[in-house]
Order: sequence, then C-alpha cells, then structure tokens
Amino acid sequence: MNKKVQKRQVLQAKKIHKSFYHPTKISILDELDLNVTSGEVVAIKGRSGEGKSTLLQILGTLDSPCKGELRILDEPVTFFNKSKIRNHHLGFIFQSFHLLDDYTALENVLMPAKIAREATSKNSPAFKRALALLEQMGLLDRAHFSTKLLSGGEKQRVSIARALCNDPDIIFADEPSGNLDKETASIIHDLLISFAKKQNKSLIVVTHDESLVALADTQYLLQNKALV
Amino acid sequence: MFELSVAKKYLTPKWRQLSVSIISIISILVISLVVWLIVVFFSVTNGLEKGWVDKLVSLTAPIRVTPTKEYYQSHYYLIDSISEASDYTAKNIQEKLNTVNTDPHDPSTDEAPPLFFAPPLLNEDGTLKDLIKEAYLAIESIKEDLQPKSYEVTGGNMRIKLLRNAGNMPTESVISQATYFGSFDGASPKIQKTLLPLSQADISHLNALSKTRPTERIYLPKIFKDASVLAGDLATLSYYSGTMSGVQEQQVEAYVAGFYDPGLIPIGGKLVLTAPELVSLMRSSQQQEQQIGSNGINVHFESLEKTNDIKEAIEKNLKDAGLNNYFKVETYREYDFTKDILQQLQSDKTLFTLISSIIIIVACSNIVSMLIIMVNDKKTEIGILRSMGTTSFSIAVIFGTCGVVMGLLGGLIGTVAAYFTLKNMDLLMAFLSNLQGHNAFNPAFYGETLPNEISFEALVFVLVSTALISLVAGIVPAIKASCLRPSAILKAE
Repeated sequence: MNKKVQKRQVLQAKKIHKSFYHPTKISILDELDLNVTSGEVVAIKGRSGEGKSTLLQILGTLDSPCKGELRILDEPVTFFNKSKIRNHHLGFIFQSFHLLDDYTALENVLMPAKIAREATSKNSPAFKRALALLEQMGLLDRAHFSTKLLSGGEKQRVSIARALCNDPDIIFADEPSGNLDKETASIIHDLLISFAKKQNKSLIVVTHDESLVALADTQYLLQNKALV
Repeated sequence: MFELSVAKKYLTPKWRQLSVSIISIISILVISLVVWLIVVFFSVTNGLEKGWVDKLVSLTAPIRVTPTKEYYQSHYYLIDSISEASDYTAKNIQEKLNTVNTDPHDPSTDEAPPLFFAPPLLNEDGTLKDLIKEAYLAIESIKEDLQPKSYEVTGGNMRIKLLRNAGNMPTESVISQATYFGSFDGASPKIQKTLLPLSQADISHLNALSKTRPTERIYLPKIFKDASVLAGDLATLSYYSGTMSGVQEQQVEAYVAGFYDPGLIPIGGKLVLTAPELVSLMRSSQQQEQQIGSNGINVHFESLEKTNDIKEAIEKNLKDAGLNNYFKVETYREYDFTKDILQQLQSDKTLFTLISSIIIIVACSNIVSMLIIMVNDKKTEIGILRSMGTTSFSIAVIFGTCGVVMGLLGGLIGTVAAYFTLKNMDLLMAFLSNLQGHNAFNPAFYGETLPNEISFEALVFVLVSTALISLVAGIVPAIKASCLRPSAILKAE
C-alpha cells in the first residue's frame, strides 16, 4: 500500500511546446513529455541555451507553455490555481539563491508559511518546523542572521530550507550548485538528494554538474527541444 | 497579515534605497503640507461660521415664523381695526396671543366689515379661527422642546450724549444716528452669550449715574463701545407718530445698559436692543404693522443640526392646520439679512474644497511615481515571492497598501501640525499682523481671536479623501507589480 502511494505520479507534462517571439520566433521546446513519480530524483542536463531553465520554470508553473498540458498531483495547472499549487506543493532552489535581502535566514524560511497564512509566531508549528529545517541544514546558529551576512553555501542551504518549509511534493532546483565551489557544491548535493530520499520528495534538478546528475534516479538530456 | 508585513518592510527607509526613501519622504511631506493647509483653513472657517451663526441665532432664532401678506389681509388681522373692543387698533402677534377675545367685532355697535376684507376663516363650530394661537400650537406640538417667542423690529433715531470729565474740564459730545430697534429678551440664556462683559470704566460710569438714570434700557452693538460710549451714558430715542393734524416726534429717555456682539448681521452696527413693549409702541405708532418681517415668532431650540427637520415639521403642522398661506417658515440660513453672507461663505468653502481636492490629487500623484520606482526596485523580490506562491492580488495589495499608508501617514502628520498651529493661532495672528504692519484679521469680522478648535468635518474630509486618492494612486503601480512575470524576472537575474 505504502509502495503504491510512494510511486504515484506527481507531475505529468504532455506535449509541451514553448516558443519565444521577440525579436524573432525561436522554438525552445516541442512536443515534450515528462512524467515524475513521488520520491524520484530527476536530473536534466543540456547545453547552455537549450531551454533547461525554461523547461524547469514551465514544470514549476512559473512560466506557461504555448501548447501542452501540465498536471501536478493529478490537478491540471491553470492560471487560477498556479499560485496555490506553487505554495502548497512546490519548492524552488535557484542558482543565485534568491533570498529576500531584508529578512533574516529564519524569516526567509518562514516566508512560504506566511504566504500560506499560517501562524509564524514563536512556538507556532511553522516556526518550529523552520527552526528544525535550519538545524538540519546546520544553520541553527545563523537563524537570526541577515541573509546578507551569510556565505554562498549558507545562503543555498537557507534556500533549501525555505523550499522545504511548506513540505512540498516536488522540489525544483535550477543549477543549485552553480555559484558554489566544488566542496560546498558536494555538500549541497548530498543534502538535497538525501533529504529528497528521506522525505520521499520528488526532485527535478537542472544542472551541468555531472556529479549531481550521477546521483539522480532518472537522467535526461535536453536536446533538439525534447528530453532524451 | 502577510501583505501588511511586506508593505511595512518596503516602507521602512533604508540607506541602500536612498532615492526611494527620499522620494517617499518628500511625497509624505507634500501630503502633510496640503492636509495641514486644508485642516487649518476649514477649522478656522467652520469655527468662524459657527461663531457667527451662534451669535445670529442668539439675537434672532434658528427658525422664524413670519406672517405673510395673506395674514395681514385676513379678516382675523383686520377685524381689530374696526372693533371697539380692540380700540380700533390692529394687534401685534403678542397681543393676539394674549387676548382671550379672538373675535372682538360686535355687529351691534361696530361697523360691518368692508368688502375688501377677506372672508373670515372659521372653525367647524362657526367661530373665528385664531391664526396666531393655532400657529403657536402647531409649533409647540413638535416634541423638540421648542420655545416660540414673538419679536418686533422697528426704525427710529437715537441720540447718545457723552458726558466726560477730562481732567477738571467737563466735555460733552453727541452721537446721533438712524437706528433699528429690536426686542431684547433678557430671560433668554442665548442672548446672554452675545452680551459683552462690562469694563471697570463702564461699571464706574453706570454707578455714577445710578440715581438719575431713566427706566428704559438699551443695549448697543459693540461698535459703539469702540466709539467711546460707556455703559450708563444717556440716550434719547425718537420716533414719529401720526396725530390728527400731522406727524409728531415722540421721545423716550433711556440709558446704555450694555453692549453686545452682533456677529455677521449686516444691520448689526445699527440694531439697538430694548424692551419689547417699547419696540411695540414705536412700531405701532409709526403704522408699520403690516411691514413684512417687522413682527414674527422666533422659534428657539438647542440643536442647530435639527433646524431643517424642525422647519419641515412646523410647515407640515401649519399645513395640516390650514395655516400655510398665512405664515412663512425660514431657517437662519434663509433670513434676508444673512442669506447672502452665509451663501457666500458656503460658496467659498465649496470652491476651496474643489481647489483642495485638486491639490490633494497633485500631492498624491507623487505616490504614483514613488511606487513605480519602488516596483522596479523590488522586481526580484516580487519574482521570489511569486515563486513561493504569492498571488498577483497579494502583490497588488502590498503596493496598494504602501500607497494608502503613505497617504494616511502624510494625513496624520498634517493633522498633528494643524492641531499645533490651531493651538498657537494667536501667535500666528500676531506674527502675520507684525509682518503686514496692521491687523491681519479685522476683529470687527473675525473677533479678537480666530477659532482654534480642529474641525471634525474637515478632518474626516481630508483623511478620507487622502486615503481614497492614495489608494487610487497606488492602483497603477500595484497593477504593474502584479502583472510582472516571475519567470522573466528570475531568468533576468
């Protein structure tokens, strides 16, 4: 029974097509299909400019395909439910961390909970969860630090904690170690993969880093507008 | 609330965003300045209007019921002039109210009513309808604790003799002028408000003449006080009375008992208050009985806000009693002698309201520019928040809130500044007077001090309009922010 639940499809992309029209029409993705099951770690690699980040943003509902259908947890993604899906079921990790500068590490981690209108006061479940996540990332002592004072590796770990705050079903990572040195990158990879496995979360990662690709359950190459 | 917490962060000035912070502070200060100006102007004008109206209704009443031409042509009014029981003399309102004999005409001794007399208005039992008593009944039946009281106004001359002792040299001078005489109701608590306190010189002068002064008293407008008239000065009031052979001047000796502030009544400088019986005597002697407005009923009550409702109620009762053709009901805003100035004041206020609304719009337009800069500055944060599930609506609310908060903050600072300005209005008046070399505000019109109470209406107007205009100003940047595509922002980063 548990195994069945673990293997349910969390993401289905069918015949995704994406073109950009300015300054001239360029087709980036065409008839692209992708299925991701729960707990699956998917790595997508490809040359620069091939459309990896565009694909990740479409899968993560941050961008819309020109054609095709996207379903997350069996629910079709529409203009009206995108924000809710993002807040409740998806987490994002970006290459340049994208932390909110005016907030502390803890406040950054709590932000998805705030957006979900959860109580975030001291001792609230969300607050405890955020502290636990920072502890798991080894950043408990940095909880009240302004994010401006953190190193690149620390920032990325805060970003991972933030992505996990609302207990998402799918985590999207766009070059998560692109701005980090090799050693820190390795730590981040281990953290990400082990966390996804332990929590049975799906992880879709776009990367050039072969070491990270090697850790994935499924590997795709984005080539000629499709995944191979 | 999530949106408020983010808006608060954005509104907190930061060195890192110096340009946005400076523009925000300037926008808030401009709004404060406008709010300050509007609140001070409206508080002063509302205070002046209130003061003028208070004095006006103290000397007159919030509502006046005056007999119309139909009343003076009615059988009820004219019948006294051909009745022996009335001494062949028409009665004024007070006399009509006091008489027990509504129909004094005795067909056996008095001549028959001439043909030009209007047909008598009769009750169901055939008796003559008592128009005045029924009018009083129509007024008193309204459950607002109304106090109807008759008044009379007439014209005449007044000559005041000023006897002074300059050193050991007695001097005598005279002030003489044509004057209106009005009824003084000493029992009215309202009229006490308009009476000016007597100075030490007034009291000494009054006491010096205590044994020789005549019985009749007059109260003069304050302009006479400025012309060195003292309480206790003697005056001769004169009027003309028709006799069999011609017109004869009648004189009444009186003394100045005090002074009052006439406010904005245009004839205020010439309106002398004296005993109602004396005014009645002068009026009837000069055959001014049918002069519209010279005799009527003042209707006193406490709450001026109810004036229009009470007027409607009186009109309804008069109509129900079949008396609406015989009496005209007017509020203090409709009196012939104040209508123009109150309407002008209202027009000035309306004009300033329009001008101030435009100034608020201009001041709030700064908010649009500031918020657009802020949206550009916060693009990445908008993208990050969107990636975490913030809706476009929430983003719009965040920037809309920033606009409203800035407007309200400006409004609050302006209100506090206006409060302190009003509390120190005397200093401001003295400063402006020094600057101009003469009184900045003529005490004859504005009083010794300008009103310094903050106007609640002005406050509500300015705060609500500022909040609304700020909200409208925030809509464009808010829509711009909500329409930003997170993918485009995050990709650009």
